[in-house]
Amino acid sequence: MERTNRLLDCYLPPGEGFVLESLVATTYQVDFEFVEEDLLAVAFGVRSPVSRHWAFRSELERKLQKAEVTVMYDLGGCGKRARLSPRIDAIPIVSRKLHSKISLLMWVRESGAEKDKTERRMRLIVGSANLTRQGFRHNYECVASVDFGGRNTSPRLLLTVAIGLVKQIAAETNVTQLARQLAAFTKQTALLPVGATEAEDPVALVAASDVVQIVRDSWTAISAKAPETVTVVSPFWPEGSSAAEALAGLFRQLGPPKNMELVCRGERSADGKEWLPVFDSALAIEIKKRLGTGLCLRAALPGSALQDSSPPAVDIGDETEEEAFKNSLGSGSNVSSDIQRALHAKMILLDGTEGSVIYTGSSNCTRRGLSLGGPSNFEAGFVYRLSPSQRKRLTGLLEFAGPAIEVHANSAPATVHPTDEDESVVPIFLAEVIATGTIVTVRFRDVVPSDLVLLMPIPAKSEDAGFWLLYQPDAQRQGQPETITTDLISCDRCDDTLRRLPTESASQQAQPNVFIEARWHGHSANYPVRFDDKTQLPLILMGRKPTEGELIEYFLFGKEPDEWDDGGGSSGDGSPGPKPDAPIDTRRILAYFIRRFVQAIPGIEAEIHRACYSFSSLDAVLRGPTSPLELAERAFASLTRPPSNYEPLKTPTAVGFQFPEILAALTRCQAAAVDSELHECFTPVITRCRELLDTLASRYEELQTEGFCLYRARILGDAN
Amino acid sequence: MLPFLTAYDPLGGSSGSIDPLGALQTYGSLADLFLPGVTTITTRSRYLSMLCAALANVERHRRMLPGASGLSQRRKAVEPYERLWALACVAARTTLNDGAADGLRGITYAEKSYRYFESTGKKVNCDFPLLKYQSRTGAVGTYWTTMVSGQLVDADCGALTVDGKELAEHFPELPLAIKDRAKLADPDLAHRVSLPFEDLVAWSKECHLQGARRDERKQLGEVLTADDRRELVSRALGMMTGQIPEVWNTVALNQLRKFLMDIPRAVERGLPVIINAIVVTEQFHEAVLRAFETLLWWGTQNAGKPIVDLLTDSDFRRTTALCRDTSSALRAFRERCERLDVRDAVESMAGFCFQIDRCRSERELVTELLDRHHRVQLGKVNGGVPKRDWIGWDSTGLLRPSPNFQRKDRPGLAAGLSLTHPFRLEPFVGMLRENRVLPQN
Repeated sequence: MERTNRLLDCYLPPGEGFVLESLVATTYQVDFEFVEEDLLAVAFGVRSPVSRHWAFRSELERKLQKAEVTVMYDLGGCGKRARLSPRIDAIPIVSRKLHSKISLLMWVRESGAEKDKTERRMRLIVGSANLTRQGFRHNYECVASVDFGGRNTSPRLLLTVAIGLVKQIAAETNVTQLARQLAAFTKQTALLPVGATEAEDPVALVAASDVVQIVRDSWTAISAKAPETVTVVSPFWPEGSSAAEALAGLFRQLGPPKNMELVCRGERSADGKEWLPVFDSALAIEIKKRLGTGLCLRAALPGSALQDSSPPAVDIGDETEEEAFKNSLGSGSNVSSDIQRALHAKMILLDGTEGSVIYTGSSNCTRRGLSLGGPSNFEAGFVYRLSPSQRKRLTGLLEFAGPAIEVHANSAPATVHPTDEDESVVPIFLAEVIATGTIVTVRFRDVVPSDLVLLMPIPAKSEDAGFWLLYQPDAQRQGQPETITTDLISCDRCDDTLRRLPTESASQQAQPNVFIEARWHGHSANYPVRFDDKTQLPLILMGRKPTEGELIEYFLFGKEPDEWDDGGGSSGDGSPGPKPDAPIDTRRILAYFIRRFVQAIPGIEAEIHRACYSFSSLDAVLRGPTSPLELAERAFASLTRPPSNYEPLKTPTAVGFQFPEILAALTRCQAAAVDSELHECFTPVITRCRELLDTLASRYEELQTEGFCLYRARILGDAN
Repeated sequence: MLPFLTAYDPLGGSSGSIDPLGALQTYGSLADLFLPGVTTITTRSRYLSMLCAALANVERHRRMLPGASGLSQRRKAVEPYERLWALACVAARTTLNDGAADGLRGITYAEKSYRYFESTGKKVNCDFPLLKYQSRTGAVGTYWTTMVSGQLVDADCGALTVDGKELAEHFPELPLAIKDRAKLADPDLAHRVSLPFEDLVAWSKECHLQGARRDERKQLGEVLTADDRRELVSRALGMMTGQIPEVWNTVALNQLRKFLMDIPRAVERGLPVIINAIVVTEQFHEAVLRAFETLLWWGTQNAGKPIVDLLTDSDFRRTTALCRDTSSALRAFRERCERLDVRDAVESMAGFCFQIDRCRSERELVTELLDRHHRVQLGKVNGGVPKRDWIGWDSTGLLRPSPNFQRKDRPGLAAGLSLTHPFRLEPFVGMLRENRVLPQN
């Protein structure tokens, strides 16, 4: 992969044939729309464009079925945007401010015919960018990534520390998928060689409390003298009356240097003529007075480092011929002077003649970010020791910083005073919301507000379908609830004003939504719902389950079912769909339908073989919406359902014939699976299929005849 | 991996986000038929002299491998020379005249290094980067086709021909000792070559992009017209003197065609037919592009609203009528065109044109435009992923386009005059003029 500075490219697979198996990410803010439509689309190589909504969503969900994705974010940092996919575990963190930006990725590649020789690679990405469109596409962010596995020999300690940091963050949660993912990362890390710190590797991955110490130690390792210049890059906010003391203390610990530079956000002056640093001028003077060394402020310029967005050529007149067409073709690209890139990178640079030390990560230059006193955040960053030539190569890191404005002890520099960010009110009393089938369980962690109302929007394709009323104040209730459990089938429905809606029929689909809405004390906030058994989910939240005929088509031709239509086979363009076939008596002939079923069996086996590289992938293939188990369930149900498109009325014998064939296919695949962990995946599926077959056999006399028993015994080796 | 500052990466604004309706292939084929061996970015003919001089230096001091290996060796070996010469051009611009470095590839890199050497007083060397990919977008990547078609180098091994050696003779000699010239010919040793800043400035007075003397200009003119088609176009351009536009359009092209009709060999080589093909293809492309841009504008302003409002709009009907008229014209041209090479060149666009021609309603035409755009985008790959559509629809309304493709203003109607692609005429005329093949304006 050609090296680019597009952050999204860090999420591309490490080589040909690798597929994403696991992603664990921590972030302060998250925009799930961006994560799903941009980040995961890149990581999975989704081909359908977002503008073709259903095709895109369907393709993404199919990819997500075979991977595990967990995003931990700060509940206070995130707005109302909920994710669309139930297959992503969104875990809000409340115990401490989660500000670290760590991404752990694992890819897997099969090695041809030798199924036991799967190859895995891991990547650790640490930086300042939140999982938002702004963070990945617009801001000035500083990021580093380290690859592990294959020929990479970076020290595995970095990965071990990263996994440890993620475990610390996850300590307040109890999420099965995350635990499984972290165990897999730990196991894979143990297989790596210890590795050595090469010239371009970070020397350490540090949390908030270690930043200053490790930076100072790293500097001591390359020079006995104080650094000549210390540059701190960070957005700055009001930090109270003792801010000067804290910052001066920080600089003393780092040197104290001869010169200091503070690179901060920039903003246009009130008269619109100047570009000024966003920094408290009084604070600057106070720091200057306390340290007595040179101090400069530099404002981040609004439109620097744009050239990397067009990598092949950068100069006017240096473009290739194709690029020269842009003007006359009207590319629509409006990269121009009105671009405003906000500074969000966080760096500490210590420079001297012997070399440099750089910290780059999530820690803002605040007390909480650098653990300068009081509570600290969850933070993460890399520390590098650089030779002078390596430092020279990194000059571009500060290319966005504007001219230096020297701070004098007796005159205030022209600046824009920073303002505080508003803190949003969040439902910290919620510990987790879990959906299993139609059952929704809400766990509380704190005092539940007396007027709390919990609503779950009813998933609907178009119009507002109202809410399920999960919880509301009840004068009769004794004490604080710790957990509430609701079955959506019997749950009350209401509209936005909590007015009750008529009860739906029991047959109506009740698929939980991906979030709930909490209302209390005049506030309102969304909270994510977690789905612990994702294989039971329909492919698309508002979609339907594929029919038996569609499942056979899937295994026979690889034709994906249309999950989003109403299941009636309508083409969606208003034209009438095909007429249902008349019932066929399969007692007398081997119907085309059963023939197609038989022909689909090799497809079932091929699908399973392809997924035999990881637990999650195989589990999805065996139990997911297009799986042999789903086919068995649909076949079983076909005896009690009226015939539909391409699905004739079947006899118990026909269905009874299908089950031994499915079971035999599963048994063959199980025998071929080498890994014992994968072997276990088959057990619940085979058990369920046998249960269904036994139920059928006990329910229908024709399946108790000697002929069928003999057939079953021959195929499955059953005694009965 | 060392940390990096993330790039500005607006959605849809990545490089190559051009050509929404897939006309580039047709353009390339027609342009190659019309003016082979030059491109829209071959703007300065003195690059040819410099490359010949650099190759001559290489051949003088190194033994090259035969065949394709030698070709690769030679193309690589001229790069240090190009870097040193780029510095000289910037020096000439600073000391002599503003145009001395116009069209220099990698000018910002050269300027940066020049400023460094000038301010530090250090000896000048060629150990600095010139462009991100010098081999691909520098002198060799840009002008090699012209070198081959101008019969200055052998196409197979890259060795200088007699004409190439003669052109190299015209170029001022490097202000270096023999042993340093030998080092400069070897990319592994070239970084050791250095010369005083003053020597560079002295050399720059003669070697810069505008520094060719009369004999060299004469030969460069011959090189530019060495290809038969280029020579015929050059003659026709000569007959147009005084009427050559700054920016070419279909009217000017038709004028050129008339002059070409008066040259029997041009008719024999099919040049008037090629111009006809260019005009009808461009008129069709302009019409469909305007219709597509109208969809971008509508999607920006009225995302989600029923598209029937647009379909009944009288201006949009005129836009679609133009699409159909121009597609009929292109179709008719293709059916009566007897030249196989021209028919092949317009083949890709003709397929699209047949689809448009078959549309019986505005709705069908919109569907066809968006389907074409979708297929074109699927074929483009960006970072391993197919490019996203600029705009999509859900059969009742248009979705809002990606931010970089949103349009605030409604595009006007296609007039059938402007060219949607640069057909290499402006740079070709420019190079003919700088060598006095055509009189200066």
